[in-house]
Amino acid sequence: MKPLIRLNLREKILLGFGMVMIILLIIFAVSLTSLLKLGKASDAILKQNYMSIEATNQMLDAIEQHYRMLSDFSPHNKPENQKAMMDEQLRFEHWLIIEKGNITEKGEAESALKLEQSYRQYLINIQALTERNFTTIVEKNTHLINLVRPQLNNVRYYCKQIMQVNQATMFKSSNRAKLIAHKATFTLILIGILGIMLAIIFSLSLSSIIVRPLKNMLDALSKVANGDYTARIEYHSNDELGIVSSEFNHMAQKLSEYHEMNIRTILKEKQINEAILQNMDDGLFLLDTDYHITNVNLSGARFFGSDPATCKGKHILELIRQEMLFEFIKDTALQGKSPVFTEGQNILVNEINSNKQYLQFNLTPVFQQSGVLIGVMILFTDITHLKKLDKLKSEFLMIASHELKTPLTSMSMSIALLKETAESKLDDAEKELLQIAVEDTQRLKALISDLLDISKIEAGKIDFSFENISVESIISKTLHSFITMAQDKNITIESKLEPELQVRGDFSKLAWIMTNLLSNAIKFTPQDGQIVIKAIQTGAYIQISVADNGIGIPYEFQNKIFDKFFQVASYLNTGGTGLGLSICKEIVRAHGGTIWVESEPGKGSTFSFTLPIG
Amino acid sequence: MSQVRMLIIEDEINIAKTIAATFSKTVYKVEQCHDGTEGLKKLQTEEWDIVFLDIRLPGIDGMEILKQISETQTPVNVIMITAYGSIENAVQAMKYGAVDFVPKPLEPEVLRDIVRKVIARRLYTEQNVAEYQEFIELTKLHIKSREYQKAHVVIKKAIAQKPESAEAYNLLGAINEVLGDNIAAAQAYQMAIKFDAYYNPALENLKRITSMEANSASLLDLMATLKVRE
Repeated sequence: MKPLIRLNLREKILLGFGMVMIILLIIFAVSLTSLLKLGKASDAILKQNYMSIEATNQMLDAIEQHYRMLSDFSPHNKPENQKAMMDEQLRFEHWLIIEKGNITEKGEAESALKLEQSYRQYLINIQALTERNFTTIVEKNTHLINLVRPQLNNVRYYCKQIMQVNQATMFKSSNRAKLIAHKATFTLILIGILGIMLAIIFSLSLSSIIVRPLKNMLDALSKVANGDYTARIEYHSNDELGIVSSEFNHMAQKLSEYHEMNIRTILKEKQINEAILQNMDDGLFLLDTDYHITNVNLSGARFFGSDPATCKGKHILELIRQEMLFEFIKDTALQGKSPVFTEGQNILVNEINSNKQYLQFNLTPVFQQSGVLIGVMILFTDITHLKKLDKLKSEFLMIASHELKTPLTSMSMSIALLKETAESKLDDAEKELLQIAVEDTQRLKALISDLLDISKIEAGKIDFSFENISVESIISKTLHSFITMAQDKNITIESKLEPELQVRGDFSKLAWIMTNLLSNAIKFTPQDGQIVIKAIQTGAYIQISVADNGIGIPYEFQNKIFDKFFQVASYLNTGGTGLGLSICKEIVRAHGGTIWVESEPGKGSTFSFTLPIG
Repeated sequence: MSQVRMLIIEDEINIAKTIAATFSKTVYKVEQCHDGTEGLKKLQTEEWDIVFLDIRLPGIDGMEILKQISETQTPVNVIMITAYGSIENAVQAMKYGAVDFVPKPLEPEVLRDIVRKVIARRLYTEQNVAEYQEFIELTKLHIKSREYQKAHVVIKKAIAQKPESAEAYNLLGAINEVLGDNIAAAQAYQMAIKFDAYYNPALENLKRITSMEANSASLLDLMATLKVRE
């Protein structure tokens, strides 16, 4: 339905107020008119009639006085009596003049004229009387009464007439004023009531006009804010509110579409993520702060012989009965960061379906954007095949070395026996050949032995049992075996150890390192040399060093000497296998320390390594 | 040595030959067998003083042959040829009276030395030994005869003579183990390692004994307390 009048909101409001204004004006006008009328009426009442009445009162009073004096005084020719009477006469005439000038009513003019005539006659009659002489007062008074009194009565009569006329008018005016007031009151009340009603109606409808659509808008807005994009405003009008409503409806529509699109996009992403999670080989667990499983993917659940549906909600320990893992999980949650693992610590051995499975795990704390911890994430990677590979590698090495040892045995035996028996039968050149064979079979033996050792360490097969060991005990143990060797070359070995130093490590492995370093030191130091063993504490580590003043190591080789099989060219014939230092490096690494060398060719070398404090 | 009748049971022909060559000029007779069955037969039909027995043989296993030898109560001394540096079941072999082990790769002097020791040992008794090394040998003699209690006594004497000997403690551990006291055995192995940090036989023995499931609980407790060094 098209509205007949197109008004915008401002116009509507103005119209509403305008109406109220008009009503106010009407009331104002009516009141004003009534008051004016009233004023006029009372005005009239006050001025003229009052004057006439006053005049007639005064005249009456004057003439009464005059007559009284006339009748009382004898002789009436006394000067003071004359004066008094003259005063009254004057008074009467004064007020007569005023009255004559104050003719307002109908008939008042005739009455005033008649009054004047009567007065004149009164005076004339009095004059006539004074010209006669009376013998007695009684006679005077009889004549007074007969002659003057009727004139007096006439005067009285006309005064009264005038008074009456004026009074009547006054009365009429007063009545009229009363009536006007009455009517005005009535009108005002009526208009007032009407006005109030209209005002109320207008205000209500106005507020309704404005408030209702606003309220609708508010409802619709809050619906949209809460996610219901179907809300629309039903307000069809051409004012600003109508425009807002239709714009709002547009917006809601757009939001709805956008929301739909978003949902589709999010769903799609979610599906992709879901697909990735469920298809990946690694197992993913998400735990809440009570360590219950909130999310797990297919692989994760399968690793432990379950399925995602069953796992959800369970405490992690229910599914994976591994205390060590749980300790790490708790640590991650408490510290708010992933734990630092030493070699092999983050591997779980999982027995499932009577198969051993090696799972490497990673722990990550999960935070909300506000920084609050909401849980821990565990990622399991199946490294069983890697472990198998490792196992195969070690097995291969084992088998290989065994296989190698067999021909080596017979070979070294033969050569040794030959050396024993055939030496006398050989010339020098042949003896030398034999010697070469002897030496190199020795080397082969050492090589195979070292190779086995290093492969064991690398594969983690060699067990390290860590305990708190006094540095002094390691050094003294190993020094013991080198005393003779050092004495042979007249080398002095000195140890400078800080007192009561303790390290955390495996005694036999550490002794191995010291032996290796000492043996190298002695080997590469000439006669009368010095070897100094030092041990100091640096921060959280103990640093042990073996320093000699031997031939040193060329600069270009200094970081290569820890490589496998590396031997500095000129030292190739010193009987080493080239594996000793790399084994040392592996052992030091397994302890969490570092090993390095400082050397100056011709001056000597210092090998140092660090171990954690025990 | 000239009286010694030596049998070599070793499937690697070359190794057997070189062992034989080491002794051929010094012993009475030396023969080689290249498989277990042949070896057993030879053992049963002829008399021998020293037998070099490889732990790994095709056919009948070396350990099995050892078992059979021990059951016959012959005076033959078996020297086990081992691989990997240390025998995994040295103690098992000890239960069958084998007490001498020589690891590959072999050396002539080492072989001769051990044979000499074995021969000399035969004459040892409680009365005529006083030196550490002699005590060790006497211990081994008793082990060979399966007289473990006697061995137990003598090894302690050896320790008394040389209190910091890893070899002696290792031997004590093995004897304890044979006698069934695994805890005492573990303790003895620990002592051996304490005195010689990389005395392989003791290391291997300790590793083996602590990983045996039968021992788990009590042994692991023990190990836990032992791990704290001063």
